Amino acid sequence: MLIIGQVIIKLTCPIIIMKGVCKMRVIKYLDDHIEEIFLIVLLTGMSLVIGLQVFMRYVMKSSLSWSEEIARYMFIWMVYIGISYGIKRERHVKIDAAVKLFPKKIQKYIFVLSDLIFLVFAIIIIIQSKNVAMTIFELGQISPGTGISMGYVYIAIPIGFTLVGIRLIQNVISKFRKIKLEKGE
Amino acid sequence: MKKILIISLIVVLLGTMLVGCGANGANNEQESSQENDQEKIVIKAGHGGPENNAYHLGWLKFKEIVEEKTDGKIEVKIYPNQQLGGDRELIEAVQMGNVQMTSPSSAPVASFDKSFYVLDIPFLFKDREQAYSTLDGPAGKKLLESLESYNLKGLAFMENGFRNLTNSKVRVRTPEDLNGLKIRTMENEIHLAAWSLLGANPTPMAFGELFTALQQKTVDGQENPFELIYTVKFHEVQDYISKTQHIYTPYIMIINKDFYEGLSDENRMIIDEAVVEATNYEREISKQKDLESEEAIKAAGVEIIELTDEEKNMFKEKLAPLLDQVKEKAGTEIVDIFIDATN
Repeated sequence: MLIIGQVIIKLTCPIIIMKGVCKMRVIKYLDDHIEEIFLIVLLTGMSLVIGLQVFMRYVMKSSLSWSEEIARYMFIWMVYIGISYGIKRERHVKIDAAVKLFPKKIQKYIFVLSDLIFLVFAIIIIIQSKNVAMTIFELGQISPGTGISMGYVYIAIPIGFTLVGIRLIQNVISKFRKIKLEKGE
Repeated sequence: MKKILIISLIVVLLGTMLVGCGANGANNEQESSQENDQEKIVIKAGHGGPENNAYHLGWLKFKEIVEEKTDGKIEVKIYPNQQLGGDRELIEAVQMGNVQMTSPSSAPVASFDKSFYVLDIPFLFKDREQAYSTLDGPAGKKLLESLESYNLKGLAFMENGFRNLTNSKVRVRTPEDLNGLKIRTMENEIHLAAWSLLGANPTPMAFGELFTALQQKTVDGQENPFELIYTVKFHEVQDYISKTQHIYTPYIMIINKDFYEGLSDENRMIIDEAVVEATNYEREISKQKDLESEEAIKAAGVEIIELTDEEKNMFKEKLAPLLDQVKEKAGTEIVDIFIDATN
């Protein structure tokens, strides 16, 4: 709720305060919370749709044809946005046993290296999945229940991984800054 | 001590990397030399049926004929049991050329090519013979041709069979018996609308979840051909089967269009002939298996209810308004062709 309130404040602020300052604030806000916004909306939507389907099936006796599908597609979107959130929070599974064998000085660089490798992987996925999604849009496959183009499901992968890429670059930069600072001391 | 550890670790890591590269390179070379020597063409074909199913046997027949006639120059690799994905994924893979052939049920094809909704018209075919003659005739050809604008080439219609209604609550003879019955349908608006018209409470659900749903009474009934009911063991959780035979479902054999057009004329002819032969063979077995499954289900203690023509007509009348909806989805032209062909 707090977040939603803040969104409203941030989005309406261009009218109220000076535009330049506000723009920075909005960008900062999105930088901090963009994944959270998506994840909250998607998870809430998913639960509501499934709940609605149960209600329609058992109480109204007329099931919905689109609910399960929509929930599934929301879940797919959630997964790919979630990867990016995991990177931002540095919560992805890492095996640090091997890293700990190296001297302290090198350890930091190895974490940066792992981020860079991940970045290369993300770029490959972005290019490949974008091609697949575009092909699906062109061939016009639709989902059987809702009738929306399946391309909207597949496009979750390039968009999700673009976010992943951005977060990785941010991570690499901040890690370098940290290393520099420590050296300065 | 630590230094030695680190160095050995790096050596091992690099070593594995190099070994990996080496093996890959060797493989590639081997493959390309094989291609050059024999110009071997591999057809990867995936489908969703179990291995004792009629339509896997049909595929085996296809493989046998193609490999024999081309002296092994074309190799057919069959991947049954959804190894390469379900119907939807496989059609997509064929479209993109990752897999060369597949044979989905007709309903999933409709989300790629709307014309295929025409096969969802209830009571379209009176019996098997009519289904064969219509699907093999100009109407079926026209339907298969429509696939070409989606980078697919339709080859033939194998048989899945007539669908029958099963449930665990009442003996269904007339539409009135269906009142309020929860019936699983495919995720397809036409099917959903059809069961609503009949007064049932249709619930779309993925096939994989169906057995548990029937067991736990999330839904009361479902509809599928006898062979499938028996192989998936739905008879263990259902008490009554009404022989409604409301929809005839074919399996549609499709091949990637670019791949097909890239074949030599000779090879294309061999494939076309093999498809016809395999289809006829599959239909024979399917018919036989349909009867066998019905007997086996009966023996397992499930009551099978034969419907009279009169009772079937009651269903048909109630479903008449559905035709306009199908026309809207599939296009008037193809629906008219099929209605003309079956009357």
